This record gives sequence, C-alpha cells and structure tokens, in this order.
Amino acid sequence: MISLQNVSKIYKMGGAEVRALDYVNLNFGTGDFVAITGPSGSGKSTLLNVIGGLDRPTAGDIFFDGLLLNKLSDREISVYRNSRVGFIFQTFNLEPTLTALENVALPLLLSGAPKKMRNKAAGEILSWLGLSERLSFKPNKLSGGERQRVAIARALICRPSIILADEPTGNLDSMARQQILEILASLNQTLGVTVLLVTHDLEAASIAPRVLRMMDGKIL
Amino acid sequence: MKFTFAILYGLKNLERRKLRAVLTIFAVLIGTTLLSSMVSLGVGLQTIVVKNLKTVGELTDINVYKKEDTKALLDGAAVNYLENLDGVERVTASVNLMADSASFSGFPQKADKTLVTAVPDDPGDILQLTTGATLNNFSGQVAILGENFLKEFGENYSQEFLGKILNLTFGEKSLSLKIIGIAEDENISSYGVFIPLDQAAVIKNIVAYDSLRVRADSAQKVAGVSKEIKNMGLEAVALDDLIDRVVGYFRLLELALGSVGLIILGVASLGIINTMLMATLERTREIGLMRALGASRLDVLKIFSLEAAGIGLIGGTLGVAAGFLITSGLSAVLNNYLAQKGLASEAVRLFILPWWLICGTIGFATLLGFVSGFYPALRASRMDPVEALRRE
Repeated sequence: MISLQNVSKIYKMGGAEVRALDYVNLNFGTGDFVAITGPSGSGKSTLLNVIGGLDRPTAGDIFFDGLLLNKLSDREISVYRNSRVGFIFQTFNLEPTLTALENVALPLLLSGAPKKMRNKAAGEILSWLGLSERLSFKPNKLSGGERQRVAIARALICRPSIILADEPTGNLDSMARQQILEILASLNQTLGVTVLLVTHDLEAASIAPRVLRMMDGKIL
Repeated sequence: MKFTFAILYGLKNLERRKLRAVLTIFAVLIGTTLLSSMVSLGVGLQTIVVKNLKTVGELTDINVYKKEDTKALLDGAAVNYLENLDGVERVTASVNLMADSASFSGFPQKADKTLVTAVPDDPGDILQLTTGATLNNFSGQVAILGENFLKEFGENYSQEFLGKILNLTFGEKSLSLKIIGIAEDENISSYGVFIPLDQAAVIKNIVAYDSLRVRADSAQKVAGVSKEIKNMGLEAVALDDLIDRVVGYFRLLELALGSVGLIILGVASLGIINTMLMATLERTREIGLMRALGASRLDVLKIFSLEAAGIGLIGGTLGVAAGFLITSGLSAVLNNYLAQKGLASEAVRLFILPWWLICGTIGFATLLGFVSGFYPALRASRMDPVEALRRE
C-alpha cells in the first residue's frame, strides 16, 4: 500500500546539511499498525510528513496505492491529505475558537461537504469516541485526553486509509495515554485503518505488532 | 474548497480580532465616506447647473457672437445669409443697451444701471410670457419685463404692472414705454427688460447686432449649422456644447473632490496590508494545520485575500451609508435655511448619490481590500506547512 524507495530528505541548517531521511526503503501494508521510535532528530516526524504529503522528499519515490506522491501537484496532494490521511499531533492543534464539533468537521468543510452532512458525521464520530456530551465545548473546556480524542475524531472524519500519529501521548497523563493508545489499536483492528505511531515511549510502542527504530535518518 | 467557506472563514477570523478589524474597517469607512459624499456633491452641483442651463433655451438654439479678431459683422447681411442656410429655422437678432436708470410713472422707486435688450418684430420664444399679449408685431413704445426684474423694486411691484409706463434714461435721451407683457420666473429673460429694435434705434445708431440666436430645425442639425457659422468667422455656442463643456469641468471637480477620499483610502490600504501581515504571523500554526487537513496553497491564498476583501467590502458599505446619512443631514439643514429665508421655492438637491456611485465606491473598496491583502495572502500560502505547525 505504501512504498518508500530510496527516499532522502535533506535540510539546510545554516551552512550545514542535515539528512533527516537517508535512503529510506520501507513498505507498509493496508491495516498495518507500526510504531516508529528513535531519539529526537532521528527523522521520525520527517518520515510521517513525507508519507502524509505535508513535506516532499529531496530524492526518491513514495507510492501510495500506486500513486506517486512526489509527482503530485499541490492541489492533488492537498486532496490526498484531505481524503486519505489523518494527522494526529502531540499538541492536538485544535482551533481554540471552534467547538469540538466544528473542529472535527473542519476537514469536511475544506472538501466542500454540506453543513448537515458535516455535523452528522462529526457528531457520530465524537459519540463513538465517548464525547457526545462535549460537542459544543471549546477546546479550553476539555481535558487533555478529551482534546486528543477530538483530534482523533478530526483525523477520522474523512475516512482516511492511514492515520499518522506524531507523539500523540506526549502531552497526556498516564490514564489518558492508555485510553488514546487503546483507541488507536481499536481503530486499527475494527476499522482496518493503517496506523503509523511515532513515539519516544517504548512501552507505548509495544502495543504495535511492528516496531521500527530510526537513527540519523535511517531505519535500523 | 468552496468559495463560501473561504468567505465565512475569513469573516470568522475578522470577528476573532474584533478591535483590530474594526480599526482597519474604520479607516476604509472614512475614505469611502469622503469619496462618496464629495463625488455626490459634484454630481449634485452638475445636475443643478445643467438644469439651469437648460432653462436658458432650447437644445436647438445656437448663440452667435462677434469674434474679437475677425472683421465679420453681425449685420443684416449676416442675418439674411444665416436665415437661408440649410437647417436653420429662424434667426433672432438682438442689441444690448445699458440704461442709466429705470422707473415707473407714479412710483417713487428707481433702479440704476439696467440691462436692456432690443429684439426685432418677432422675437420668437426668446421671451416666454406669463402675462400679456402674444407677440406678433413687437414695435413702437412698448416693453416686456421679467418677473425677477420687477421683484428688485420691492414687494409691491407685481404682475399688476401690466399697462403701466416704464421710463428708461440713457444719458441725455430717454424712453417711455408701455408694459405689454411680463416674462415668467423660470426663464432667464425674467431678469431683463426687452424693447423693440425701433426703440433702440432712437437711442443709438444701430450698425450691427450684439448677438444672434439661430434656431436649427432639429438637434441633429446643430453641429452642421454651428460649423457654417464658425466658417463665417463668427463665434457659435450651442447649448449642447456648453452643457458638454460644463459636464467636463464637473468631472474634473468630482475627481478633485474625490481625491481626498482616495488619499485616505490609500492610507487605509496600508492599514489592511499591516493587519493581514500580522494575521498571517499570528496564525502561522493555524495555516499549517489547515494545510495538514487538506487545504492547498490556493485555498490559503483565497482565505486570506477574501478576508482582506471583506474588510474593504464592510468598510465600503458602511462608508457609503455614512456618507448618505451625512449628506442627507447637510441637505436638510441647507434646505431648512433656504426655506426660512424664502430663497428657494423647491428643495435644492445639493448631493446626489446615484447607483453607479454607490456600487462603484463599494466595489472599489472591496477591490482595494483584495489587492492590499494579496501580498500577505501570498506569503501565507507559501509557508512551509511543516515549519508552520512547529511554530509556537
């Protein structure tokens, strides 16, 4: 489903070149649950970003269901991000002025879905994640775990094929952390969504059947 | 992404930073208020002047004068020649005299320096009478007065003067004329005194006329006849030309009046650029998130430039509305004053706000917003989404 072939990403920092990804070759199948660990700066986030179409590799090819991502136009890759990919971030990245429901509906707004459909879909997903009482709450009225669940609902709203979670438990207490990991495992098992989980936390990584370790832009 | 979404989202963002949005909108409002009310003053003045010009005479009339630098004379021969020109219906000649004084037999008041116009037998409709006989044979010791000329003598002088004797003195000479008609208020001739040419001949030896009024068969013939007259070495002024020229001057006036508003709008545009640049900096992270959720560069460009256009649209609409309220208020005060002083029989429309001005001003303000917001929006659309998401 996803295939990376000789993918490199080079950043220029000052005068020096940083190889965030160094000739990475990698394959993921549909319905895989893969944890990616490694120290800061090892290239974990960059890997997620190039797979998610948010960043472009300096060299190499990335195929997604036969689609060559690095050749897509900005508009095409935006549609890809909107319809095929769900991002989950460490800092949630919820819009503080919007309610939980509106935050979740945002990707559907971008794709031009009508309001009725947006609200129905967002309400259903939030209920599924146990937040039916929180639909009209703004993010600052929600706990950390609740915020991350809203963010997961937003990632799921367009029925993506792949969830890219970048340190999703990094800002949470142990109970919320456990809950979020269970949700990720359950959507992988019940919905069959491919999940790539980037984490420092080896214990969190252990819930994934496949664990990759990265160092200096390479898969070990 | 849908267009309506970009608009709604932009408006929501304006709401989020209310004070800053309000201040920026206010700058646009001041500019458009000034622009719309100043131009509406120009349009109002133009309408008043053109309306008054049209009372001077018919659109088919051409006024003919002698030129300073040519030998062509406005004499009987010239009148004959013109009368036989193709497209000419009638030629009316007149001679101007200045009376040292004017008075009425049996009344004490006296007017100094009165302009007296001598016209031939058949003055046509140079004179439009409200009272008195129709003029078939205007000759002998008779005169026609304008209503407004009478008013200068005082309130007791009214239309009852028909049949009274008017005394005019010209140095040693004088004329005593019976008033046979009074010209109405609406007409320019209401300010003057009109006598037959044969009476003017008593005062001075008439070699040539001072002016001719040539009436063309139709408005289409005016240009051709005017050209013929100019070929004779005479000055021809058609009312049409005059109106065109006046309208041209008023366009300049409108531009001059409107330029103050335009300058303020220029400053307001800098305000919009500043506001939008600040907004893109503050919302860097949000831009990154929108990109991650599936917004393209073009979508980001749309969101920000439509938001800036929204500032222009709101400011422009409020500005035109404020301009309308202010000019309506001024107009009411002015008309109230004129009515109290008895200076105007009907309301004077000093400000006119036509649809083209309303739509033009709002459209211009919206375009200004869009253009001002374009550079900040372009910067926002070019941000690297990964960098943007990392920003605190």
